[in-house]
Amino acid sequence: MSTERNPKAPLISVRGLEKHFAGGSIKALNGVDADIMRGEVVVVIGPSGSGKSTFLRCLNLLDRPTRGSVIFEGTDITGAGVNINLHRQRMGMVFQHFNLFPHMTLLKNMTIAPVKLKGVPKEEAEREALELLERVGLKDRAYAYPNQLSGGQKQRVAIMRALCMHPDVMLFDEPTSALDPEMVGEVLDVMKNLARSGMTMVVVTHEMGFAREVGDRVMFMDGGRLIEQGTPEEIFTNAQNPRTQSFLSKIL
Amino acid sequence: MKTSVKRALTVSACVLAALCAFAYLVYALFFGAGTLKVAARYRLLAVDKEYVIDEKDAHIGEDGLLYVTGGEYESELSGRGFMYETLRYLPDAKATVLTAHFESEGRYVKLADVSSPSGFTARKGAEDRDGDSLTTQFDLSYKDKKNASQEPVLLTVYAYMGDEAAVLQDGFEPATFTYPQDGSNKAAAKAKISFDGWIKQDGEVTQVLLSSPYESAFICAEFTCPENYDAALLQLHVFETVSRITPGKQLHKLVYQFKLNFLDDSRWEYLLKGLATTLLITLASGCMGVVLGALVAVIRSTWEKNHENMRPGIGKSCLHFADKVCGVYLTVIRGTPVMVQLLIMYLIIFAQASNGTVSAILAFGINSGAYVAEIVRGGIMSIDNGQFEAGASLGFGYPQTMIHIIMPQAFKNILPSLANEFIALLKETSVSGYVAVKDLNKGGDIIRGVTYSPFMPLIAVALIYLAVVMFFTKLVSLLERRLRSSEHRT
Ligand SMILES: Nc1ncnc2c1ncn2[C@@H]1O[C@H](COP(=O)(O)OP(=O)(O)O)[C@@H](O)[C@H]1O
Ligand SMILES: [Mg+2]
Repeated sequence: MSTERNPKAPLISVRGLEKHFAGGSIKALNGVDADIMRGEVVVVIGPSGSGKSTFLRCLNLLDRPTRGSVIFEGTDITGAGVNINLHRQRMGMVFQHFNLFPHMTLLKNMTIAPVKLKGVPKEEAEREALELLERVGLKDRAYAYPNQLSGGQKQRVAIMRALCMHPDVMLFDEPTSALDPEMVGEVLDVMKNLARSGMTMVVVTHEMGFAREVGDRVMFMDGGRLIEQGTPEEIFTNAQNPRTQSFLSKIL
Repeated sequence: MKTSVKRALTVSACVLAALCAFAYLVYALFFGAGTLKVAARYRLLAVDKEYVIDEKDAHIGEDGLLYVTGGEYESELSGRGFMYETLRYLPDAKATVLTAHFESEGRYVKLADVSSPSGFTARKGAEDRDGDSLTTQFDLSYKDKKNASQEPVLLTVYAYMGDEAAVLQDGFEPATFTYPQDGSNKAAAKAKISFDGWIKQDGEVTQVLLSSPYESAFICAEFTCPENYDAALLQLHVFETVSRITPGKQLHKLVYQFKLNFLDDSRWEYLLKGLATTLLITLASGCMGVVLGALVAVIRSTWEKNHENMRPGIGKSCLHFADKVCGVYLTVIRGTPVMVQLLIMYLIIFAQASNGTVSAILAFGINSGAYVAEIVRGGIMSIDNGQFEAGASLGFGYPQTMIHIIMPQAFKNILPSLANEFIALLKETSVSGYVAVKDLNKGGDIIRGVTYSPFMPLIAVALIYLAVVMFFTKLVSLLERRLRSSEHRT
C-alpha cells in the first residue's frame, strides 16, 4: 500500500541479511543488502555454493533469515506476527526441479491455490488457467498429469502455476538447470515474454544470454555476499571486482 | 467396481468351500465316523471347582456297560481323593454335589437307576410327565446297614437344566425329602420329586442330582430327548466311570457334530453376532487408529522437518511438547502387549462402566494408532521436500499444505501398509473375549463350552476370519489399482 503512494520505493528491500546453517558453522549468507525495484528483472549469478538459492529462498522466507530484514511492499516480513502466507501469495516461485504436484492434473496444479487461498470460483480459475496454458502451447494437456510431460513442459506449467496467483514478483531458482539442452529455449522464451510484460523477476541462472537480453541488473554473489552489481553491460564487459572477473572468465 | 466386488466374493466363497472340503477329509481320516464319544463335566460345589473331561472315545462292552478310557480321564481320578477329603472335612455334605453331563453321539440319555460304589441305590419308579412338569418316584436303598445312619437322612435334590448350570442353580430352590429309618438291615425309602414348569419338552438337557451326607455323591441324570432321537439308558457310577448305554440310532459323526455345534439351539447365531461384533470393533478402532495415527504422524514429522527453521516462541514450545507426548505414546503403546492394554482399559480405566465393547474399541484404536502413526510418518517423510516448498511458495500454510498436497500423496504410497495394519488389527481383536466381548472368537468359545467338541467351532471361526481377511485383501488391491490408474505415476 505504501508502495502505491510511493512508486519509487523498492518492491523488495533486503537489509543485513544473514543465514546460518548447522548451528552457525555454515554462513550461507553473510550480510546482504539489496533492493529490487518494481518491474525490474534482476539476474543473480555466482559460483556454486555462493548463497544464490539461499538468498532467493530468504526473500519469501522458505529459509528464515538468521539476521536482517526483508521488506516486501513496505512490510518487514521477517517480523513477529506477520502472516507470511499472505505475502507468499504475492511472490511466485519457480524451482529447479519444478515441484509440480504429481497427484493432480495440470489444471488442478494451477487452480488449487487460487481456489483454496483466494476464493476464486473454480470455473473462473480454470478459465484463466486454460488461457495461460494456451499461451505456452499446453492447452490440450490440461488434464494430463505432470509425469506425462517432458521437463520443459513441466517447467512451463510450473511457471504458469505461480502466475495463476497474480504475484507481484517471480522468483526463479535455476529454472533451466535440470533440463535437457534442447528444452532450455522453450522455458527461457516463456520467461522472456514474462519479463517483457513488465513482471518483476529475480532469476538465479547460469544463462548469461538471458541475463544480457532481458536483465535490467546483474548481481554477482560469492561467499554469501553480494560482491558486485550493475547492468549486464557493466558486469559482463567491465566488471570491477577480481572475483567477478575470474568467475566470468570461467563461464563465458 | 461392482462386478469386481462380486468376483472377490465368488473367489472367497470358492476358497471357503475348498477349505471346508479339505477340513472334512482331514476330519474323516483322523477321527473316523461313528465312534462313540463321551464328554463329562464334574462340578464340585464345595470348592466351586469344575473338572472337565474332554471328549473321549468310548465303547460299549458285551456286558452292556459303557467303558471310557483315556489318559486324561485317569488323571481326573486324582480328583477323586480330593473329593473324599472334602467329604471328610465337610460332614454337612449338602454342598458336596457332583454333576455330570454325559452325552453320546446320536443319542440322548434318559433318567436311569443309579447306585453308588458303597451300595446306595436310587431306583427310578413311576414317572409322570404333564407338559412342563415332571414327577418321578425313586426307591432309595442301602445295601448294607453300616452305611446307613440311625437318624433320618436328608437328601437334597439339586436341579439343573440345560447348558448353564450356574444360572439355573440360582433359579431353583433345592427340593428336599426325608428318608426314614426302619431299623432293618436294608434301608429303603420312597421319594417323590416333582419339578414344575421348567422341564422343556424338547431338546433341553436336564440333570437331577441327589446327594446324601453319608454317600459319596451320586448322580442320576435325566435328559429329555427330542422326538427324532432314540432314547438311551445311561447308568453312571461316579468314580468308577462305567455307564451302561443301550445303543440307539446313530447319526453320521460329521452331521451330528454339525447339528450339535451350529444348528441346535441356533448356535450359529453366536458366530454371526460374533462376526458383527468383530467387524464393529475392527472398523471403529481402525478409523480411530487412522485419525489418531495421522495426527501423531503430522505432529512428529512437522517437528522433525521444521524445528530447526522455526522461530523460538510459544508455538515452537507447544509443538515440541506435543512431539514429546507423541513420542511417549508411541514408546509405551508399542512396548506393551495389546492384551495388557486391553485389560488395563477394561479393568482400570473403564472399571466403573465395565463396557467391554467400548473398552475394546478404545484399546485397539489407541494401539493401532501407534502403528499407523509410524506408517504415516514414513509416508510423509518419503514425500520430496520440494512438495512442501511448492505448497508454501504458493501461500499454503503448513496445515493446508499437509491436507491438500502431502497427505493425498502420502496416503497413496502407504495404502498397502495401512491395509496390512487393518488386517492385523482384525485378527488382533480376537482377544476381545477376555473383556467379556462376544466377538467371533468368543462365539466359537461359547459353542465349544456347551458342546465340548472343539473341532467344528474352531475350524468354523478360523474359516470365517480367513474369508473376511481375503475379502478385505481383495478390496484393497482393487482400490490400489484404481488409485494407481488415476495418477499415471512412473
Ligand atoms: N539446508 C541447508 N543446510 C545446510 N547447509 C546449507 C543448506 N542450504 C544451503 N546450505 C549451504 O549454504 C551455502 C550456500 O548454498 P546455496 O544457497 O544453495 O548456494 P548456491 O545456490 O549459490 O549454489 C552452501 O555452502 C550450502 O552448502
Ligand atoms: Mg542453488
